Amino acid sequence: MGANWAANDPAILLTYANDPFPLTGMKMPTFVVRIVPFEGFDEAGTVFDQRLMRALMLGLPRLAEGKWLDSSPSSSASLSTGPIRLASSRKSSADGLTGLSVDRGDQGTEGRPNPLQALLDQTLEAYDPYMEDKRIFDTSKSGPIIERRGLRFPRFDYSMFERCMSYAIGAAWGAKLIK
Amino acid sequence: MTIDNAKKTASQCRHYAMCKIDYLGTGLCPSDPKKHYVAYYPQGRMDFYDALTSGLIPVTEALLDIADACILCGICDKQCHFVTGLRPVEVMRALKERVAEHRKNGGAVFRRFSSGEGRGSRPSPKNRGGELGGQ
Repeated sequence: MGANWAANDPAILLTYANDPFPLTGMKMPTFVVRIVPFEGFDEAGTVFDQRLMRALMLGLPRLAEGKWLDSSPSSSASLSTGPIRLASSRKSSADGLTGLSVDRGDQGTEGRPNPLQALLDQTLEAYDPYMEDKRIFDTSKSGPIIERRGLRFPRFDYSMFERCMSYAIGAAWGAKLIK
Repeated sequence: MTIDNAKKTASQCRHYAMCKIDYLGTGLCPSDPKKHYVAYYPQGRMDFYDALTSGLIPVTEALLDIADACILCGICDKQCHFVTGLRPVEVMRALKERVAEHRKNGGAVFRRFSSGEGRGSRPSPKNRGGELGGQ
């Protein structure tokens, strides 16, 4: 498969072994596998692409347990469910792995996600709090003052956020703290 | 910054992953993004520098490659400092210095399977799981 596909070097494994959290320690994976870029995804690696690959990697333990392998009596095995299609020379384990590809499955019906979308959604669910912007500003004191003058608070949307960030960069915010 | 301070910074990375997103418009870490592994991003280097200096992992082939890939451009310093107040470049510099010292002293380099060896095979049982205990 090659080092660009899979790695078992401790320096690479370690970065998948730990997500700082007080209740859990490190768990070193046996190996990490990335899926080659496929149609519709930027080969250079967009953020979405990386998240997708992480989602697929998280699915590999099940694959290694053989739970995703079908039980057909053929000499070769293939993935029967889920978004990763495995080509293997054996059907009981990941031994003899000859290739991995992404199986997007049928397009979901009635708005239901296909297996690949479902896995991606499930994996990203834990990151939802980081991706949402639900800032709450206490306006109990300033609100009445603003209203008396006929003004309204602007909505903090993306354009406002972008303007704030552009100002911060333009004003070299934090420059004194960086060499 | 001393080695101890670099380790302290590295141990404080909380994986906010802002070094993987060009949210400041300053570009992304240029160290071979096509490899995709987290280790090639500042977040990954912070992790394994902390582990390396704690004796959790040895100097490996990939570690040398990843350390060499960093050009100390400073992009990660702006991205990380903007959000967390941390300054990863000092960790990257300490990592490169440590690697240079290791090479100078002819230190051992740990090696797992490389391109070609992994085809149709998997790591031997004694190698599986790594030094931290496998799953």
